[in-house]
Amino acid sequence: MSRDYPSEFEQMVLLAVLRLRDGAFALAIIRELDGEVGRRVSRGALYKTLERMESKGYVEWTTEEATPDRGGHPRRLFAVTPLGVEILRSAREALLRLWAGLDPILSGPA
Amino acid sequence: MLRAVLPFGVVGDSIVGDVREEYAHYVASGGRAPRAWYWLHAMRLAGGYLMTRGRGVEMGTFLKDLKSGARSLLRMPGSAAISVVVLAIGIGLCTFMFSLVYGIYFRGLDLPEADRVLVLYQTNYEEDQDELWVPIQDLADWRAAQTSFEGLSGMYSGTVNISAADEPVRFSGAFVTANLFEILRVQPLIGRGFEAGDDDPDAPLNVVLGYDAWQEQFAGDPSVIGRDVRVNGEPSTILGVMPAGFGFPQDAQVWVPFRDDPLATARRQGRSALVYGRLQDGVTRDQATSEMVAIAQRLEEEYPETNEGIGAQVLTPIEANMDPQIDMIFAAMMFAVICVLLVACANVASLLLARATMRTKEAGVRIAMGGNRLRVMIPFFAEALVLASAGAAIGIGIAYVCVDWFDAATVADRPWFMEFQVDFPILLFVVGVTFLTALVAGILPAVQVSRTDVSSVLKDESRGSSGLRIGRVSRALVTAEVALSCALLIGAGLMTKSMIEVGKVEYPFETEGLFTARVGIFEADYPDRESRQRLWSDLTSELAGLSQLSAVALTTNLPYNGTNSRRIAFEGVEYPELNDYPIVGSATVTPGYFAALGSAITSGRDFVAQDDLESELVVIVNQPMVDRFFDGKDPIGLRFREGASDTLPMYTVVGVVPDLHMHSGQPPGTPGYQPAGYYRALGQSDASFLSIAALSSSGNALAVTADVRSALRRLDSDMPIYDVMQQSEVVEARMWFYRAFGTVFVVFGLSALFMASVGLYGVLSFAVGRRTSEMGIRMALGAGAPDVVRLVARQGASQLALGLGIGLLLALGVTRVIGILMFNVDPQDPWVFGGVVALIVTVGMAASIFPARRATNVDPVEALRSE
Repeated sequence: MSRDYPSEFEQMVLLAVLRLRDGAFALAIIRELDGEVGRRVSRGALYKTLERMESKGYVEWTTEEATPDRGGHPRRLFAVTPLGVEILRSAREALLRLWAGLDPILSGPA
Repeated sequence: MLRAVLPFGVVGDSIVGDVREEYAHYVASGGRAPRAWYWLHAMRLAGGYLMTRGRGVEMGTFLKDLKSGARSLLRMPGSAAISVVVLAIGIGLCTFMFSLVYGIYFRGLDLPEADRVLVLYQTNYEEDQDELWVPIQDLADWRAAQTSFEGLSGMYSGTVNISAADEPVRFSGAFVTANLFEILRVQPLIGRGFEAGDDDPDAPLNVVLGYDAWQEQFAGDPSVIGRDVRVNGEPSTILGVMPAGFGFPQDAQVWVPFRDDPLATARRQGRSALVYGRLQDGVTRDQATSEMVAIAQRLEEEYPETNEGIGAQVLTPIEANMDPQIDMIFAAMMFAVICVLLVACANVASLLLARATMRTKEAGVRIAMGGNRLRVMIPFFAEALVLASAGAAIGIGIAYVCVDWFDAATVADRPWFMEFQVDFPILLFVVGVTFLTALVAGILPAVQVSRTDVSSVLKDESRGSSGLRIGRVSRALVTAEVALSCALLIGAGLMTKSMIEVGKVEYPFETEGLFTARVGIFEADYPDRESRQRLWSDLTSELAGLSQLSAVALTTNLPYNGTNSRRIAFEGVEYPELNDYPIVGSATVTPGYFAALGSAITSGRDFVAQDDLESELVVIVNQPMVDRFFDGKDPIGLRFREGASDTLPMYTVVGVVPDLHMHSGQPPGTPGYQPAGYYRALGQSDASFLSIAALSSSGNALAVTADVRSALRRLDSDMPIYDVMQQSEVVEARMWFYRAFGTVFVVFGLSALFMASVGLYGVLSFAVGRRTSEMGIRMALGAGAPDVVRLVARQGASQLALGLGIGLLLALGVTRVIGILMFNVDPQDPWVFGGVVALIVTVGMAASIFPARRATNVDPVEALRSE
C-alpha cells in the first residue's frame, strides 16, 4: 500500500496545533506559523486545510464558550488525532531517511 | 454576507467569531481605518469560500480558468476589445454616480464620531416651516435646560474683513459660540481655539484663522498667534489656526465669537443662529428630540406671544442639507446608470453566448464523460470576469475623470463636508460591481451551455451549435438593450433640449457689459443710517464719475441672485389668515438701477434722489406682479403694505418694469417659478451690504475693475470689494445645475445608444454567420440578394419594434421623475420621442443590413462545401 503523506503545509499546521497544546484556535495557529517560521497564511487557506484534514481524520475540534469580543460566536479549539500524530511521525521518518547521509552537502555554510 | 457563504452551523459561526475577534484586536491595537479593515477581510474570506464552494472546484482550477479565459479572449481581440470598452463605460459611469451618492449621503462629516453631531432647528408647522434658525434668546434657554447634548453651539455665516497692515482682505467667516470647536472635537493646528467667556458680549474680540486664510494673508507664518489685527474694523487678536480643509459650518475661513447678548434685545428681535450639538454618550437622537420638543413646549407656555406654535427638531447634517427633490434626482440618475450597466452586461452576455456556441461540442463531450455541469459553466464566468476586470480598470479611469470634473464644478456651491473623490470605499464598490457584472454577463451563456443536450450534440457531427438554442435568448438580450437605451435616450434627449432652452433664454437685461461686485460696510464704522446713506450716495457719485461707465446703481439683489420674500397686503383687501397674505420678492435699489441693467421703466417713473423718508413711500413693481394681482390693469397709484400688521406703512406703486428675474433658485420656465416682485428705493430703506451694477460703455465689463477698486478706496480704505463678475457669470452660476446634470444624462444616453448598436450588430452578424450555408442554398436556388437582405433585416426589425415598444413605456416613467430637472420642456415632448425612435430605428437597421449584405456575398458553392 502506498503511504499517504501530508503536504508540507498540512505538516506545518499539524505541528503548530501540537505546539499550541490547549490553545490551538485558528488565529493562534496563524500567529504561530507567522511567528515561528515566518509563513503568512490567509485565513481562508487555513480553514480549508483544517477542513480537509478533519475529513481525513488528522484533526478534530471542540468548541469553547462564546465571548463578547467575538460577537457571541463560539471558538473552535483544534487537536491532532492519534491518526494525525501517526502520519506526522511517518512523514518525519520518511524525510529523515532521505536526509540520511546528506549532511556533508546540506550542512555546509548557508 | 459573510455568513451566507460560510459552512452551516458551528463551523461557520466560529469563523465569523474569529474575524470579529481579530477585528476587536485590531481596533484595540489602534489599527487605521478599522471598518475598511473588517470589510476587506470579510470580503476576502467570503470571496475565497464562494469560489471554492462548488463540488470539486478548487481555487487553483478557477485561476487556471481565468488564465485560459484571458488567452481565448485574446484570440478574438476585436470583440473582446469592444466588450471591454462597453464594460468600461458601464462600470465607469456607475462608479461615477456611486461616488456622488456616496459623497452626498454616506461620507458624512470629517469629524471624530461625526454621527453624534446633529443640527437643531425650530419648527412652525402652521406656517409650514420646519428648518427655522433659533433666535438667540431661545438658544440661551435651550442651552440652559437641555441635558441630551454635550453642548449646543450657535453660529451664523458672514463676511469677515481682516486688515493686518495694509489693505483689508475679505473672507467668508463664521460667528460662532465659544464651544464650537469643543463640540466638534477639532483642535487648532497651532495656537488655541475659543474658550468659555470669549463669546461674552463685552469680551475683547478674538479671531481664529482657517488654514487657507493663514497661508494667503500671513504666508503660513506661525508667529501670527497673538498678533493684533483689525477684524471688521475692530481691534482683535489672532488666537489660533484651524487645520487645512476645516470650514465649518459651510466654507468659513475665519471664525469670530458670536457675542450677541440675548438680553439686549426683546425675544425674536435679535439675531437667529444655526445650532449644532453633540449627543452625550448613551443618548439617542430620539431621546434628544423628545427633550428638545419638551423644552420648546415649556417656552411656548412661558412666552406665548413669541413662541406660539414653535417646536424643535433634531436632524443629521445630511438631512438638513438635502431636500427630497435632490433625492429624487439622484434616484433617477442612479437608476439610469444601472440601466447603462445592464445594457453593458447584456452586450457582453451576447458576445459570450456567441462564443458559447463554438464550445457546445466540447461541453457536450465533457458532460457525456461525466464532467459535472457546474465545472462546465465556470469557464464562462471566468471569461466574463476577465472582461469585467479589464473593463473595471479602464472604468476607474473614466470615473476618476468624471468625479474630478464634478468635484471642481460644484466646489463653490455645495456644503463643505461633501467631498467627491474616488477613494477606498468607492474602489470597494468597483470590486463588488465587477463581480456582479461578471456574474450577470456570464450566467446566461453558462446556463445555456450547461443545459446542452448531450445526445443531440454528439449525434450532430457537422453543426456543433445546433444543440444550443441560443437564438431566442440572444434576441431577448438585444430587445432588452434596445428598450433600455430607448428609455435612456429619451431622458437624454429631453435633457439636451432643456439645455438648449437654457442657452436660448433671452435676458431682459445686459449680461456681458454689466459689471457687478459686492461691497459691505461694518456697523462699527458706520453706526447709523445717516452715515450709511451718505456713503452709498458718495459711492454712486464717485462711480458715476468714471468715464468708462455709462450708468451706475446699487442694489441689494442682482438679477438671479435671489430676493427677500415678503408677505404683502393690498389696501382695501381683507386677509382672514396669515397664509392668505401673498408672498412676493423684494429688492432695494438706487435711482438709475433699471437703466444700469440696460432695461427701462415701461410705465410710470423711476426712483429719484428725493425718494427718502421725508417723502411718500414708493415702490416699482415688475410685470409678473402686475399680471398676477392687477389683471394687467395699470397699477400706478395703488398701495400695499409690507407685512401683515395694520400698523405698517403703505407703499404707493409709481412705476412698472419688465420681469428682471429677481429670483435665484429657479430659472423662468421651471415648475414653481414665482417671478412677481417689487423694488424699493434705498433712500427709503437701509443696507450694510450692496451689489454694484455698472454698465460699461466699452462692453468689456471687467476692464473697469481696477478703477472701481480705487474709487472705493478713495472713499474708505477699509471697504473691500468682492464677487467681481460680469452679469453673465452671475446667471451662469445659477444655471449650472441644469447644465451639469443635463450633460451627465446626455452622456448616459449616448453610451447606451453606442452599446445597443454594437450589441445589435454583434448578434445579427453572428446569426447571419451561422446561416451562411442556408443563405448559400437560398441563393443557389435562385433567391436574389435583395431577398436575402430583406430576410435578415426582418429579423432585426422585429426585435427593434419590440424593444422600442417596451422602451417607450419605460421612458414615460423615467420622464416623470426627471421632469424636475427640465427647463421649458414638456416631459412628453413629441419631437424628442419621435427623434429617439427614428435614431434607434436608423442605427438598428444599419446594424442589421451590414451583416445581411455580407451574407449575400457568399459564394453558394463555398457555402455548400462548408456544409
